[in-house]
Amino acid sequence: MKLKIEGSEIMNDNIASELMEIIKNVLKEFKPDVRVSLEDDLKSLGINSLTFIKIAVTAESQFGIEFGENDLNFMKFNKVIDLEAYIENRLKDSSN
Amino acid sequence: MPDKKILSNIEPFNDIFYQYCFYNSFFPVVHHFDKSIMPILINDVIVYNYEKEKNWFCSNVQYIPLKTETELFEYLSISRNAKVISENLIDDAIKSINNNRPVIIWVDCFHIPDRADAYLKKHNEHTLLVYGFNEFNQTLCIIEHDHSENLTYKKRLISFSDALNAYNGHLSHINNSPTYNTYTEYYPARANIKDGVNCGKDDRSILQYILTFADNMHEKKDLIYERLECITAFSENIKEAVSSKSKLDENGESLLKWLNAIINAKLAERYKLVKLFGQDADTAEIDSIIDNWNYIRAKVGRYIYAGIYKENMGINSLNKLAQIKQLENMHNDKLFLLLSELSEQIKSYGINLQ
Repeated sequence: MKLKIEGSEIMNDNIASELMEIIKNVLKEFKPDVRVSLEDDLKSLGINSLTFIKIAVTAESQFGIEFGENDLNFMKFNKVIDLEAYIENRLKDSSN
Repeated sequence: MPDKKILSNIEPFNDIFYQYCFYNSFFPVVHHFDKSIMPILINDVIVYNYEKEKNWFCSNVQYIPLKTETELFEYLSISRNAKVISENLIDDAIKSINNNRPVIIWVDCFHIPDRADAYLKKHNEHTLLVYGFNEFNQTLCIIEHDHSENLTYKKRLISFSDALNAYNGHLSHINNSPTYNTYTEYYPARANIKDGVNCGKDDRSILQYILTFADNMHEKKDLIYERLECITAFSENIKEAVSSKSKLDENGESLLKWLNAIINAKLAERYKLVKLFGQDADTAEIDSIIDNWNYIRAKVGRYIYAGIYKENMGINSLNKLAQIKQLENMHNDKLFLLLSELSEQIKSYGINLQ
């Protein structure tokens, strides 16, 4: 599946891999060898409310989206794939 | 004596942060002895706290215990053998584990390799739960998390030398003349530890907990409502703290920690309600309260981590605080009504809970 974003195309796979890269970068200070997959539980990866905000704001600038008022909240997402789906939906919304 | 031993039935506790790190070490001990943590949770009434004379970042919430620590341990039927300082930490811990007694020690995270946020970086006071040892490998089995803010407690190994350094580091860098016990062994107070109320796994226990919770809450009812006024005092400080980029640069990190402490307390309150009343517990207001505190934290975090500052941050935060105060009143009104009704019902059925 491909998403159209202002004339460009971002593939789903790219969203996932970029998001996992963002997570790795944010966590690398504490976990240099961390491995991230879409099925990983955010909490088990060592993501907390504050590192979640770092990941979300990096994703906002990288994907050109904005998290909803109450969505910048760690407790609303269980797994990496949930966050990926949220970003995908925000991208879809912004392209409509 | 065996050269290795691991206590069974001891599991990390990752449901919530409760007050401070000690409880995330202690709750697995309570469960290990087949007890419930509910007597501990319901013993504390959590209220907002604002102390004008202190730096406001130091006061946020207060956990007010109704029973003393000694009374609580007696109620739980858990005994302690404690030392202000252990002169032979590893020997003491091995002996304790051989006697089936888990141990909690105070340490400095600076010396704990699994704590990448602090290891060889910063001195942080912390507790470790020791539940096993292996003399051949020179390791202790501990339950520990990987970051001060993470609920990632799990079973880990620490070398004897790192454990000793962490313990001694606490005494040399953080508290060189402790007035509290830095080494504590825990064991059941009675041979038969499975009395119904303390086990907390039957309906009678839950009813007893609800009654005690209701009594404790009613005892502090006036204070709970009075302390909602702290939210008004917080408003002034938050307004000031987020009034400009430079103020946020100066106060942002402290503000985040301050907000975390409040959110953790609110999550603990929610957890307590769900444990008492099950999944049908009415958490609508407390969920909204948590959402509103999260909103403020997210705005501060957005500035700190992405440099995004919006002029309306102060106004929006004040609006959220006004909503929080209103929701807290609604939540408490409903909770007190529910607790009164339930207490009456439980008592009218003549259930003997003693």
